[in-house]
Amino acid sequence: MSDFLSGFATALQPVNLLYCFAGVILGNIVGVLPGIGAIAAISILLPLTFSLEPTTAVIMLAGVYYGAEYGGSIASILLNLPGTASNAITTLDGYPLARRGEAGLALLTAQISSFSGGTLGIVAMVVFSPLIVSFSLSFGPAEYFATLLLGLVAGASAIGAGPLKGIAMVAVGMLFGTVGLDLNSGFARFDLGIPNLLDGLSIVAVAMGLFGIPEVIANISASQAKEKPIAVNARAMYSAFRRLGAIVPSVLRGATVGGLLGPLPGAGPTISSFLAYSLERSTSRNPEEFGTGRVNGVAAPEAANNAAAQTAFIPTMTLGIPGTPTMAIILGALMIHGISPGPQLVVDHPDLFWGLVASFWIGNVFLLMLNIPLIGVWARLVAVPRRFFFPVIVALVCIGVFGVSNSSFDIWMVLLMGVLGYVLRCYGFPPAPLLIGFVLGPMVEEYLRRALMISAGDYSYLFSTPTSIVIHCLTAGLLLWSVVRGFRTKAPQPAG
Amino acid sequence: MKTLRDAGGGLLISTIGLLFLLGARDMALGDLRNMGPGMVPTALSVVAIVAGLAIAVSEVLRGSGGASGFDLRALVCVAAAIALYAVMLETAGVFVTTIVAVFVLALARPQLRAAETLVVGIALSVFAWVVFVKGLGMPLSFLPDVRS
Repeated sequence: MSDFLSGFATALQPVNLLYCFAGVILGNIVGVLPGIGAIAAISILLPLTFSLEPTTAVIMLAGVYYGAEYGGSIASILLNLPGTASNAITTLDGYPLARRGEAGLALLTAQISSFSGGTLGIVAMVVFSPLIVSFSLSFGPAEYFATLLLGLVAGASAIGAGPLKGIAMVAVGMLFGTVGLDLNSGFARFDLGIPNLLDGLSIVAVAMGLFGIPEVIANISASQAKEKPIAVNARAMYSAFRRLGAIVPSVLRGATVGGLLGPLPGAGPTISSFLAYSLERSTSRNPEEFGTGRVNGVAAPEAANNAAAQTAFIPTMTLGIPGTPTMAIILGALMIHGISPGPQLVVDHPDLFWGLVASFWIGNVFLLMLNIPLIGVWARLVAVPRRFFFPVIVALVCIGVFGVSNSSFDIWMVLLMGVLGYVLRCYGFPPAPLLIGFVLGPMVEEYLRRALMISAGDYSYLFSTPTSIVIHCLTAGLLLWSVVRGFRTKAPQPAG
Repeated sequence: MKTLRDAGGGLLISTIGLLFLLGARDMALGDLRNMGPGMVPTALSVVAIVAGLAIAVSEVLRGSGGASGFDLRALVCVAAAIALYAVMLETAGVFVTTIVAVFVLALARPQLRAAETLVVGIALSVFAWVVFVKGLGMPLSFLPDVRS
């Protein structure tokens, strides 16, 4: 707890406060705008953070991530279009509420639930991170290899597209990760004689290409029907305050679901919000009222996705294992700054870790205080025609990625990754496992080869401690479960 | 033809695996106890090729219909705009490159709004110049560099 309080000393430094503020505002804006997600926004911002201190950089990028969870609910409620994927379920009850003239209540519920969920997620992070760190400090290469392998398998199997497609994408991502100098032998792999490739493919180019560009291609020609957001003002939100008593249990249930699922590799805010909603409906005495405009149907998923957005940082920061593609990019950002996340990070850079955690809460307070008075501005922003965004995204991506190494080479990489990402997306391949493979692949190889060097090539070393055996069992169980689930979901398809 | 279309996604994965396998030919494999630089890439290439083929077969058997929502015109326009940035940005400057790219992107839409597109292009290029060149100090010029 005292560590957490000392983190405020870091987070409250003016420069960190400023970038935290900038991050959450930007996150809120991309959340409000349907079609631009936090992943695209973070990868676009990544080059801008190179000149910052690592702590400041991560505080800002993280702010974009959880800020988007706040903003996303606004488009869901006012426009019936989710601002980000994890707010999709909020449309079910949020939009009917707004249609009924209770937009103020729906928006206030979403904001308060987001804040409560986020706060509970932060509490979980403060409590559990030190426990995980003290446990994992004893990890050797064998345990790290096991944990990374678990992260890879989870990344491949948790996506709904079936285990085979997940494995294929992880393998391709890991192959992309092998480009560049091999750390053990100094051999240049797949460099094609191009000096730019010696350092490997830039994570900025890969992330922008996979998540930003396909989104632009898929939406650019879509004609926007005359969507008119429902009008709302701040006064309607203030007057809804006294009606919030009913959502407390839903918020607690939602935050619990989100807080538990957030750290799991591959789960993340979207799955949390869906599960929280279905839990809310199945425990309700009037399940048939869901979908017609129940505040609980807004409160639970919004608490869940914000709690998950915060607890997702636990494995990323304490073990160095990103559960979601956004976390993979934040991990990449730390590595660009020469910091490798893991238990050692919390021990060596306590100011970074605890400053980040403290900034989460400051950012959440910012968002809550901002969004209620500014709701009129966000409501207008929702109405901006989306055809204006696409040229902006392409310009920011291309010029931003140029700045990574001041060379046009990375723009060509974005083009290659973008076209590949779009074609694969059309064939139903999810991009997230590719990015997770790309980030974790080189680490898996390094720890595997280091472990084998220590044991002089004896593979039983990988299973030599109880911890590594338990983790390998988890991995095997996960793999088995995803195969079984693949068969179960396939079976009812012909009938439906 | 239909079979080929169904199998497209899996075959694409296998092709990527094959390219990496060919690229890894010259790397020392070592053995499983003492891996060389080529071991992991070769193993991953094989995984990608096999997984891709397995996906291709299962999609053909399922008759999945291949890619859905494929928009060639949007793909070409966006790809062309990115390529323009790659080719022009360093020599032609932020202003000209951005305006040309914005017009190429506008071609992806059914009708061209020339005036609106021009305004977006000008505003965006000024914004990008202020943020990236003035703010972050990227070595780019606003107008074409006529000296070289």
